[in-house]
Amino acid sequence: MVARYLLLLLCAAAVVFGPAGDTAAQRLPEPTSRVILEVSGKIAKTNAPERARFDLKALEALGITKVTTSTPWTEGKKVFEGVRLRDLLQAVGADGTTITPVALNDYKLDIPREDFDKYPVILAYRMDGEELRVRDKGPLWIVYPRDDFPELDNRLIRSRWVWQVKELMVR
Amino acid sequence: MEPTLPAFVAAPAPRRRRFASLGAFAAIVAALMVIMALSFQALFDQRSLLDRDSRGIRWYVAQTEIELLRLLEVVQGFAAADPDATRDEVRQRFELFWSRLPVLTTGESAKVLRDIAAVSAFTSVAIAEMERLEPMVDKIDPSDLDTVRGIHRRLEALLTPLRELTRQTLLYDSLNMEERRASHDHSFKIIVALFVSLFAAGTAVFWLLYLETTRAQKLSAQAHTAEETAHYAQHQLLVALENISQGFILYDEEDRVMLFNSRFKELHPAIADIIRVGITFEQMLRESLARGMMRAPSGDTEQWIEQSLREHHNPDRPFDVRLSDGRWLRVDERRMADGRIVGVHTEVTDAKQREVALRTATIQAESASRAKTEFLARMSHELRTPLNAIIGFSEMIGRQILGPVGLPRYVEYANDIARSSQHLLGIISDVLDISKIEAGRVQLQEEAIDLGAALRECAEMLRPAADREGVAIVVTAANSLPALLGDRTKIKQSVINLVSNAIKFSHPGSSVHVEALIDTDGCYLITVGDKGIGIAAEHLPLVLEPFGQVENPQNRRIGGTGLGLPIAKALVELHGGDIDIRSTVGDGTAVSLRFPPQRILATPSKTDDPVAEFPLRRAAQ
Repeated sequence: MVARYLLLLLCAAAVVFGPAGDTAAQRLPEPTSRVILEVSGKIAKTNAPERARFDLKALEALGITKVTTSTPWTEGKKVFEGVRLRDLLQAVGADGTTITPVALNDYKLDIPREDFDKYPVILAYRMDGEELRVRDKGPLWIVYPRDDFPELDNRLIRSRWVWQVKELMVR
Repeated sequence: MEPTLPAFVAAPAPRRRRFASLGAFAAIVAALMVIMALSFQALFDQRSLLDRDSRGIRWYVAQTEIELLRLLEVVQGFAAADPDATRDEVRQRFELFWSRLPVLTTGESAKVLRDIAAVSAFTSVAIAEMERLEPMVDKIDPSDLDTVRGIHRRLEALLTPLRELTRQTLLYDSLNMEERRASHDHSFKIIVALFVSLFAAGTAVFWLLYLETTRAQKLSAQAHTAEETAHYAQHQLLVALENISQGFILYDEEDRVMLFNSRFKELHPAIADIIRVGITFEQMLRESLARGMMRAPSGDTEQWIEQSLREHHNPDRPFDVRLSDGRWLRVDERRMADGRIVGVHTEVTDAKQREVALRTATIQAESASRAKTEFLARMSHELRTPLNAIIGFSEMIGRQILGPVGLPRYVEYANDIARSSQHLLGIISDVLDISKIEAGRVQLQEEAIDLGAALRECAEMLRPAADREGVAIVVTAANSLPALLGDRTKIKQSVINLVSNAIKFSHPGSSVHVEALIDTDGCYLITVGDKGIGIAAEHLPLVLEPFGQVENPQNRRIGGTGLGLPIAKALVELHGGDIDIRSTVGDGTAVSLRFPPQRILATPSKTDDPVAEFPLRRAAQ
């Protein structure tokens, strides 16, 4: 009898305190192919110790968003496909104000989270239908929709177009 | 009322100054626009230079070199069987280095890098090498050391063009920086110039505004003063008009009242209530008639009004109007050039009354004088008739015509009666003459008189009397003397009066001079002079008055009515001339009759007598 009440209480706590309350509900699916992104830091959902690991399929499962824009490093307009960073952060239950992407060459930069809340910034994995190779600034490239939002065409934002992203740290 | 304003009322500012101000403003605005355009150009230049920022390029080139060095390190480690240097590691480094190459050839940085020759030299070689090395790297194996070393060597060969690129980029960056600094300086100078110009322009604009403002203030102050002066003058004029004793009124071109003073109303109390600005002269005239203030002299009122309007519109000279209440007004109207009429009404009742009184007095005095004269004339006539009888009969007795008188003494008495009566008759004749003259009953019988002859006749007539007194008469008259227009008898009578007076007052043995000449004023002058007792200066005016013979012991001896001089004076005055007496006591008297030049006839009276001087002389007894 007491155990049943205790279980009910736990259930109620899970409802009241949200996802943090029940670790069993916080597990993300395990990646099945090559991992291209790890998210670490203040996140609620993981699939590895203290981090969430994603393969391409898992990212695609979060929704594919297309952004058509020019970039400072390419010629003409390009069609990028990727996951919206807002959706990704939500998917991992991120609870931070600063996102720090880390590139393959260990380049790091702090980006305020408002950028992703205010604009549909994506973490692109395809350009013009082709998967981004490392030589093409892949596997993941933070792409701002600068053609749709002229205020994004400035040097500060340009520095946040981090390419060859391998990890996101949420702080 | 619209007075002529004084000429010193402010005139508008000269146009030339206005244009000068406008020109200055336009020049300042134009200069500012040019300077602003230059400044904008400078700012745009700065902006485009920013776009050509070469610092980013330096970073990209450096990153490329770093990635190449890392790749070389990994390949070398792979050759040395370092456990960290796996094939995947080599592949990833290979990919990472490769990923740097498009950054140098495409996108925005490529635009800047086009200026650097080493870019294409490096990238074309590098990309070719990467494509060739890719299959080898994919199959890289630690056991195939030769291949690994080959890959290393080939990649190492890329360092030389890459370092050249680095060197050139640094040089380019330095030059670029220098150029930017120069451009900065240029822009800075232009912007400083802009600020200086702005300051100068602002100062100039403020200065101009200040000038304009002060000038406008001064002008407005002047205008204000002039206006005040004009107003003051106007006001004073109105005050003065209000305080004159005359009634003043001004009519406009349509004969409506424009202005009047309160004295005007006082002078016309009967219509004072209707006198106001805007009323016409005719309305006032008709109202005056209707209220009995004025009366049309004749029966036809309308005709009189018409006449009055005509006179009002063409005023000639002041005229007097009698009002029903007995007052007299003198109306003086003037028509001004612009058709308006100004009128001044003055009350002249007192003057009129004095004038009437004076005229009445004169008429009375004249009628009294006429009565006296007539009385005298009648009396003289009445007295002469019996006197003629007395003279006639006493002479008959004295001459014993009807038979001898018994006693000789009676003959003497009869002669005395005759002489006294003669004397009385003479007095009566003189009184009658002067009365006639004063009564204006004497008519001149004018003719051309040969004055020389006339004077000689007089002398002849008086010679018996002169002989009795032992006095000589000398007549001086030039033959060339012109004829005198006058009454021969009356002139002779005057001269006889003067000469007989002169004889009476002369000492025995002396002479009386009678002279005719034309004086410097062109007047005919007859002078009778004697060397007798003379007349004192204070008595001179008296002798010309009738019966004004001076009281003198000697006069007792000399008979006479004392009317001789007054008659002569009156007769000369009838001719438009006058009489002049000059006398010194004990040294004689000279009496001149003067006739005006109009009485001188052009031709000489007579030329047949060549003698200039005609002395009449008898030996004195």
